[in-house]
Amino acid sequence: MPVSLLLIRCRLNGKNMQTTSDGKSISDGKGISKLKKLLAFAIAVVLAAALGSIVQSQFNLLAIAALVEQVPLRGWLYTIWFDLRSFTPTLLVIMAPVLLLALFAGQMLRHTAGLSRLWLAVGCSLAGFLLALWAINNLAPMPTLIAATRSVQGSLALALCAAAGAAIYVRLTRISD
Amino acid sequence: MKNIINIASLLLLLGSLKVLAVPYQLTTLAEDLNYPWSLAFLPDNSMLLTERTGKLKHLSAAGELLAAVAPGLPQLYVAAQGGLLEVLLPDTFEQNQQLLLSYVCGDADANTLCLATARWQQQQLTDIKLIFKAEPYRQGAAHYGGRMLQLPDGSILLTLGDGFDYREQAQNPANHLGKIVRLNPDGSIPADNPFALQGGYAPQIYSLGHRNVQGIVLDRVTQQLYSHEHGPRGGDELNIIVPGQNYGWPVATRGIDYTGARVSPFRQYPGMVEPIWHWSPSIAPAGMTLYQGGLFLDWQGDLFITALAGKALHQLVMENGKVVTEQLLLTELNSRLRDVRTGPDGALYVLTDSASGKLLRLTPAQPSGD
Repeated sequence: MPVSLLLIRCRLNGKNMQTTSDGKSISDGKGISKLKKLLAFAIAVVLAAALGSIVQSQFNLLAIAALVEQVPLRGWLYTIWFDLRSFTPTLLVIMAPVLLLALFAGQMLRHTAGLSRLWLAVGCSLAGFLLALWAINNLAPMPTLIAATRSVQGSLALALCAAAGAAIYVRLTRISD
Repeated sequence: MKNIINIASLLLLLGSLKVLAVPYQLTTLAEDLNYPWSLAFLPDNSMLLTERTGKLKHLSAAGELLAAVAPGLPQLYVAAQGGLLEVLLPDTFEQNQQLLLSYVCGDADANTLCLATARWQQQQLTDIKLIFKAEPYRQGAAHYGGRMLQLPDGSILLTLGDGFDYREQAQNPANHLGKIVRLNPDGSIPADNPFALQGGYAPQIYSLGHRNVQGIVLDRVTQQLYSHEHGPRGGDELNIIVPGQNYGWPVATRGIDYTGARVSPFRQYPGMVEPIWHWSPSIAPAGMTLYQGGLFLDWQGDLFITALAGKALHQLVMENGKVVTEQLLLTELNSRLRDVRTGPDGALYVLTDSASGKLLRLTPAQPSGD
């Protein structure tokens, strides 16, 4: 089993020493710490994108539900599942750079803003996602790329998913700081 | 028995290849056209051509530029998909020289599709009058529709788009977003429109539930009215339009959003008309003609549809209102195609879509001398 996969199975905020599948110990030095951060970042981005996908499905489904008598539960759930597979990759492409820059900005501001790391990461990712939406909608050929963000509520809801991703990252890397 | 099956298969194959057996030749009539959008033929066989960027050009039958004017259309707004769209010469043109122009009016924050009449005299447009403005205004410069068709009773059908960000409004009968509307040539509302007297409905509505209709033709033999519309990612549709019917967008669609998200859980929905043909992935249909010319005898009654994303001229062989086969033409050009018309000479005229667009003419291939 590759070392990276094994590490996913370990607690990310675990001990200084970790064990591979064949029983050999590896040092949790600077390199491993970077790997842990990378894994934490990947998990945070994937969870934020998946959460965002589920949230945007609700906005689209509610809009359709307002036009018809009833959306069957089966159709509702299938749409969420469909979007998780089909829409999440789009959101991953947006979330990854937003979270990366937001976490970096939060780190930079940590000593000057006087706020906790968590709140800085959440605030920066929230603002960063809204900024990204604005930039995408100005650059893309269509007026609004993500239908759920046509409303302020939808934009804020997806931005909160980005913020949740930032919070997950901070939580997963808490001890390594 | 095996032989019979083989012969039947061969006949079927020959039948489906019939359209392939018609060779054509392509002539470039005009070049350096700035996003040409539509074409109309004057009684002397010369042509009026619109450029989306705001010019109306008069070309001879051979394609030479005779005149170019920038019509002073009220509040013309040129951006993205917006600008000067279609020119239509009603059947009364020879008597009064009056034509119709569809165009986008307003500004970036509030724009819509407008329809104006004007007189074409001595290579000038005069007497420009705004006769219809689709409601409500919207932001963004996408999905205007803009194609027109004159029905045998003289009334005009005008296609409209959903404004992209306002897709649910295609189901709102109180406005014009995502509708086909029917007007008299002076902009007034025909009394026999399907919802003319129905409360809560915009009286101009002819059909509803459309996304972005950019092709509409009438088969004058069967009286069947065809339109096509852009789907999002997949779900481009060819429909038979019946007055008063709902064509489903965005509730019933085979397309998904460009982001991969589902627009709706429904592909069909009770009370909403299904397309007779659809394209997934999208071809982005942008113009259409029903061929009833005299040059291509094998193509009588076929639909020809220009595709922007598909970069081809789609030939649909029709039989009793159903598509029998589909054949792609002009793929060798590798160009986005905006509009197609049947000329008075029986040739097919095609506009390519670019800042240096072309006007092309398809005629049957000349038999070789040997």
